[in-house]
Amino acid sequence: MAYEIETDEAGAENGVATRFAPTANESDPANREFIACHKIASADLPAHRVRALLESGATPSVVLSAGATVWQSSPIGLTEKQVGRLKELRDAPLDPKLLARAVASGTVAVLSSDPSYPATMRDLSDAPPILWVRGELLPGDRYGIAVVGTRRASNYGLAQASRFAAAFAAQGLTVISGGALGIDAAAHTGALDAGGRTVAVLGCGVDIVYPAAHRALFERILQNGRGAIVSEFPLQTKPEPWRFPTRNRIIAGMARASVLVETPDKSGALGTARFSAEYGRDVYAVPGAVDTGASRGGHKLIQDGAILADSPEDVLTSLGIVIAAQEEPIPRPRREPVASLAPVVTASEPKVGENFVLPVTPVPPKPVPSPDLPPGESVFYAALSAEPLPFDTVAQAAGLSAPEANVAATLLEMKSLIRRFPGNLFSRV
Amino acid sequence: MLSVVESSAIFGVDAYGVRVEVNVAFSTLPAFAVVGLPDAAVNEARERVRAAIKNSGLMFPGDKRLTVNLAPADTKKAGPAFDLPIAVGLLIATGQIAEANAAGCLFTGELSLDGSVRPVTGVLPMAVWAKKNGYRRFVVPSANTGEAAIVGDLDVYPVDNLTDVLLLLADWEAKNPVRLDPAEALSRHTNSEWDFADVKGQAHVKRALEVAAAGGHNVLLVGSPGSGKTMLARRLPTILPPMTVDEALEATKLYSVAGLLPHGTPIIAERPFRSPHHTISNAGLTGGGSIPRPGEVSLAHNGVLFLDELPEFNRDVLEVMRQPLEDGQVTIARAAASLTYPARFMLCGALNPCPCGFFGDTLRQCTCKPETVKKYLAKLSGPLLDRIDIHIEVPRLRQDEMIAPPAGEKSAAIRERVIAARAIQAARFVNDTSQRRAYCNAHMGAKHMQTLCPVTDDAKSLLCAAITQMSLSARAYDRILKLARTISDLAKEEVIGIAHVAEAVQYRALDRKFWGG
Repeated sequence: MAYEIETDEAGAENGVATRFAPTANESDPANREFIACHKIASADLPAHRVRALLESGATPSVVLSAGATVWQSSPIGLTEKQVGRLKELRDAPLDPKLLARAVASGTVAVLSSDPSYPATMRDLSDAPPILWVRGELLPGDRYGIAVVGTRRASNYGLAQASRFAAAFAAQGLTVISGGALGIDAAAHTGALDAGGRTVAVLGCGVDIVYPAAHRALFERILQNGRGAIVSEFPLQTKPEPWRFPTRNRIIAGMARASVLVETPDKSGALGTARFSAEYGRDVYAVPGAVDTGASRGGHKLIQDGAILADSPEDVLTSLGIVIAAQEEPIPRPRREPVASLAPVVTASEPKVGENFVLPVTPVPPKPVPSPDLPPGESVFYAALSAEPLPFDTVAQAAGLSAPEANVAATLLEMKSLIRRFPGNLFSRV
Repeated sequence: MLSVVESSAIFGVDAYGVRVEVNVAFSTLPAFAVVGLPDAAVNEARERVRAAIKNSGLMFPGDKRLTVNLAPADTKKAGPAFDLPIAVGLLIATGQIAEANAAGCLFTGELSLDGSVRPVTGVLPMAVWAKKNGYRRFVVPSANTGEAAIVGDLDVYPVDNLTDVLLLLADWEAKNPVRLDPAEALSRHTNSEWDFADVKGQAHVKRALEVAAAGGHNVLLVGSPGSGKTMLARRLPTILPPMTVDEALEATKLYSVAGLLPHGTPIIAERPFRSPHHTISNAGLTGGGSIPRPGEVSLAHNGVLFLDELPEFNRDVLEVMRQPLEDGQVTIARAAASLTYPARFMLCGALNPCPCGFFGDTLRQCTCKPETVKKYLAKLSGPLLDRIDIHIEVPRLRQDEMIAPPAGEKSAAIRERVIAARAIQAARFVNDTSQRRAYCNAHMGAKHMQTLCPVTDDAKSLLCAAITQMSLSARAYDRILKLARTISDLAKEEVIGIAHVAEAVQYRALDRKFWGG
């Protein structure tokens, strides 16, 4: 599949609208189409049949009103049962609040033929026919990298997730994840903190905030077009356990590579990895400690051929992305992408597998400890590392008494030079 | 013939006088009746007294009609403490003891069937009452000697059996009364077997406990199983200032009433440490019951109440602690009467960070879902958390740290600093005339904090910045200021400086948003 830089015009050529943003104006034709999309999506039909239905050349509302003869004709070919279900939904009264909810949440229905539909996903056989999107999907999101992992994350996992996400975001790459607690949240936050874009793919309707604790995070993603929240499930779909594995295929489909951070056995993130591999995308796993079992799933993936990611630069170089000049050290190239044995950096049209340079969003430089830190703080800082360490260990290494170390910790934390973790652990930022 | 013997009974933590009147009358129908609202134990005294008198080789008037009245007749009498007074009354009424010899003397004690005298509860409050009401002599079971003698100015005569009592009443001069000086008894106390020097590592927890002891702040220890929370809490009393004589007598009274005074101990010299199990009932914690008894909050009076596995406690049980935490006493209202026990204690709670216990642990992976961690902490009610100034995390030690020799400071050294800081606070609150007088920094109200917590401008702006930047909750402001006051007292400084505030910020772990925020 080709990664085309210029705007993809697929679907727009025959003049049929493929993206429906409902408005408060009741007579707006977009509202009618949005409702039709909602009904079609609610019928739980196989993805490829819905695609055939929607790509028949007519708008969703026309297709919906066409009836059984059209629906059963080739290439749509719905079964009797499916026709019954669709008909029932079509004629059922609509939730009167649906449109108001859609307008309030700014939800847009995007068909797979729309230019803003992720190009990386369009050609997949099981691609969702309709995406429900809050915020905006950009053509550049096709270079996105998925950062996923367990919800029960350790401090190490959280730190790595946000570090990898921040590094990708700093290269202008969109970070794609699942909007769940733990690694997902750390990935989204890391990308946002670095001033980059991030997309959350949910396993429920995009107007439902799940987990509820992520209200602030989701708002932050939607602020100033920093990212988008997408789902294949229509509005008001409840987060049910069986929806999350299906959701993982969208994360895998949208991203050109997946990075697994802290994935124990049986984690849902392993599903994302499997889909990625099926779609021919690279799978990277960040190793963890071997004694806790927290990364066992990721380690098994490495044994099965996934690429070990020692640093974000590993992933970038391996994907053939030239790292824009940063204060980061030059990474060691680990593994070249198979198709680019002789990588050439060109400013012109990049082709499949070639290296390309992306526009870099400027990142605020990391605060470097000024040499004029007061003595207590500087010894405390010197005793810290990027790994969270117990407070007493740090204080002892710094030669500070408990009260002195407490003072240093607070003052350094106020200067945003260090971070405190549960368990009274501290690390450098 | 009629006789009157003086005795005493307990209500709450105080004693009141009970006159034991015994009437021996001729009757064709022999009987032995006890009146004056006796409970089952008092009624059974008839059998014990009868057997004890007979088995001591004395005469029991089995052919007479015997009536015992416990005056005042309208309060319920409970327990076996009236056995000895009843027996003495019978012996006087039957002419075996001269009535004049028992004048001005108070009796208490339980009788065995063989005539020996067994210990009873509440002897200290009885002795206090006897002294106040001008009694010269107090006859007590020998096991209760110490607590009776500690009040001073009262001749205490220990007895082992009924024969002893007979001999004593025949000739008071034959035996020397026992008297104890409370100050001396207190000083004779040897140091506790617990010491902070035994605890390896955990320097920051020890420091937090030092601050807690210095300002009387309640503490919450958060840590994985096996991190040493109980070990640390158990040593908290050893760094609190030694008890004054008044404090020790208050504590001893409660233990005496509860019958928990160890044998041969005249006075509770060491600050109490109570650690009730989390299945405890309301009445067990605050006191009460049909025969009122002080609860754990009162037994921890002037000491430390340690509640391990705090979220496991029944929520109602934790809620009833709010009154004692606020007022330093607990009032138990029942249909019959309401009584008040003192309960001024330092609360030390301990909890795991999450149901599995390993959230934030460096050595083992937590297996809890993120929501469950949040729910677990939410079990602690806001009003209770509001009364706890210090939350400190207690990490588990690595094996190499545990093998290393202890290098901790001795409790006595820490206690020196605590005493100095408490002295500064005593001077601060000496002119406090407000209704709810503060004794230490933890008790400061909003009024106190306005006038008694001068802060430098730097420190103030650091505090405000910390609240916003570290996303601390709003209630943290006052708590941090109070802690900073105590830390500055430990440093012997008048004005709260930037370092004091900075240190205090670290003692508010649960305010951090990463803790289920």
